[in-house]
Amino acid sequence: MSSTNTTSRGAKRRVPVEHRFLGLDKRSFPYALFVAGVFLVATALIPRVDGWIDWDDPVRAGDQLATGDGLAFVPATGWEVISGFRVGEANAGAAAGSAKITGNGVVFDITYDAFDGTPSELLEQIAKVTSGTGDETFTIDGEPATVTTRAGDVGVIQAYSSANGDGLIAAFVINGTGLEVTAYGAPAQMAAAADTVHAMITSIHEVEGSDS
Amino acid sequence: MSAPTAPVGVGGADADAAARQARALEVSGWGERFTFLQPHNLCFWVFLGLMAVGLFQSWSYFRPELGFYGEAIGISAVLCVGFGAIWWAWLRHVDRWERQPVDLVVAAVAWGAIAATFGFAMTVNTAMLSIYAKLFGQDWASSWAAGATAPFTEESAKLCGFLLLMGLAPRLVRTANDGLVLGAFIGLGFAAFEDFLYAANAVGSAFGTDPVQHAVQISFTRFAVGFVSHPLFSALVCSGAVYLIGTAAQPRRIARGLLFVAAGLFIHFTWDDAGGLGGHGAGVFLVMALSTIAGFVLLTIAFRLAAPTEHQFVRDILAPEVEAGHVRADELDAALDKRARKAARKAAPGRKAKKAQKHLGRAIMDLAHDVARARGLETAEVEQGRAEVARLRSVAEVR
Repeated sequence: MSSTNTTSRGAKRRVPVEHRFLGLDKRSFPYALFVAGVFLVATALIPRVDGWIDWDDPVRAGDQLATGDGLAFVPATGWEVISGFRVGEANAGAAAGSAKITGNGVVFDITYDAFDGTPSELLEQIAKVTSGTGDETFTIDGEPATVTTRAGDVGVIQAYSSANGDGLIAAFVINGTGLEVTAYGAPAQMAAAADTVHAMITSIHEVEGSDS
Repeated sequence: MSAPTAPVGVGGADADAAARQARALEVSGWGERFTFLQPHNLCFWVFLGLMAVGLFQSWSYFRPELGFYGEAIGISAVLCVGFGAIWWAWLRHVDRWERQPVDLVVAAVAWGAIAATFGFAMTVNTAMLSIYAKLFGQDWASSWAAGATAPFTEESAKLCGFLLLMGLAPRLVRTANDGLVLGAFIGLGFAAFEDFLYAANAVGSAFGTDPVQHAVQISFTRFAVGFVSHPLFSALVCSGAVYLIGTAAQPRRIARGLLFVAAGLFIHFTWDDAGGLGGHGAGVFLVMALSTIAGFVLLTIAFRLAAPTEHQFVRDILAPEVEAGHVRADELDAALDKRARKAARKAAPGRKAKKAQKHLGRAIMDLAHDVARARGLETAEVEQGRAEVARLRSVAEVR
C-alpha cells in the first residue's frame, strides 16, 4: 500500500476511484484478509481438529496416577486418562495439579495442592470457592460422611448438587497436601459406577520410595 | 504559535538539500500523523472486530471470579499495569528515530493485551495443547507442548496486530526499526496481560485460602523473569516481517527476514521449554540465561542493521539545516554515530561540556522531528529547535 486515506495533517482524503470497492480501500484488503484468515484457522479450524481427535490413553492394569508429591491413586482399568501423570513419569512429582479420567459416562477428577487444615475444613473451603466462582447453584447435600482409604487415611465425602450436574465430592489432607476428589455424571451412570468410584477414592495412598 | 511559512534561508540555500529532505519525508513517513478512525480501511474493521472478540472472551473468563476474588484480581491488575508502565517508559525512551505517534503505540499495546491474548491465543493454545496431549501423551506434552505451541500461535497472533497497523498506517510503519519498536509494544501488551492472567489464575492456588498473597507473588515472579519475554520475541518477528514484506523504505530482504522471524520463534521456544531442555533445577536457569543472552544479542544486531536506514533519513531531513549552518556536519555525525559521539565527548572541555554534548545530540534529534512535522516549512517549533541546538552548542564549547 503506498498511501493512506488520511493526509499528513490528518485531514480526510477520499479513496482514489481505482482503489475503491464498496467504499473501502482495496489496498487494505491483503493485510485485513490475511489476519482474518489466521484468526479463522486459529480459533475455528484448530479447535475443530482437536475435537476430531479422540482421547486414546486408556488406563492399563498396574497404572497409578500421581496426586501430589508422593501420593497416587489406582484408576479403573480401561478408563481414559484426560490429564495427569502416571507414577514414574518425569512430571509426576508436582506439588499441585490435577488428574482426570473418564469412563462409563462418569468423570473422576482429583485436584491437589498444599492445604493446612482438616479434611472437613478443606471441604468447606471447596464449597465456598465453588459456589463463589461461577457456580452459584453448587450446594453440598446433607452431612459429610467419613471415608477411609485402604492405606488408613481418613477423609470426608458428601453428595453435591449443581445446575451443571450432581455428583460426589471427597476431601483428604495427607502430609500437607489437600486432595479434592469429585465424581460426576448422569444419575444412572453414577449409580452403576458407584463401586468403581469408591474403589478409586479408597485407593489413594503414599507411594513407597518414590518422589511421586 | 505563528503560521508555518515557506523556508526562507533553507529553501534558497541549496535546492539539492531541499530535494533530499522532500524525498526522505516522502519515503520515511517521518512527521506523519496517525488517525485510527479509518472507516474506509478494512484493517480498521478487522482490528475493531477482533478487539471486540478479545474483550468478550476476557470478560467471560474473569467475570465468574470477580465477585469472590475481586480484591486479589484488582491488586494483580494494578501491579501488572504498574510493571507495564515501567516497560512503556523504557520503550518510549529507546524509540529515538521516527518516534511512533502515541495513538499508534496505544493501538499496538491494546492489540497485544486484548486481541492477541484472548481473541487468538487462549483458544488456539488450549486446542493445540490438547492435541499434543492426545497424540504424544501427558508427560511429553507437559515438557514440550508449550514450546511447540506458543512460538507459533502467540507470535502469529501478535504479528497479525502488526500487519493491521501496517495496513492502517502504511506511511508510518515501513522500516525494520518500526517493526522492532511496534513489535516490542505489541509484545508489551501481551506480556502485561499474560502476567495478569497468571496472577489471576493463581488466586485459586491452595484451594483459594490466600488469594492476595498468591496473586502478588506470581505478579512479582512474572515481572522478574518477564523482561526477556514477549517484547523481545515480537520485536524480532515483526522486524523480520518488514524485511520479508518489503516497503518503500525497506527493500525486501527475504533471507534476513526469515532469519529474524526464526530467531524470534526460536528464543520463544527455548524460553517456554526451558524445563524440557534443561531438565529440572539449575539446567532450567541455564537455558533461561542463555536464551536471555541470545535474545539480547539478536536484538542488538537487529537494531544495528536497522539503524543505517534511519540515520540516512535523519541526514536527509536535516540536510537543509546543515546547509544553512543551523546544525554542523560533525554535530550530526556525533548525534548518529556512536564512535563520533564518543570522540566528541572526549574532546569536550570539562564535565558540563560533556553533558551538553549528550544533550546536543538529543536536541538535534528533536529538531529533526520538528522539521519533519513541519514538512520542511518554517514554524515556531522549528525555530525553537534551532535555538535549543545553538544554546547547547554554546554550553558544549565553553571551557
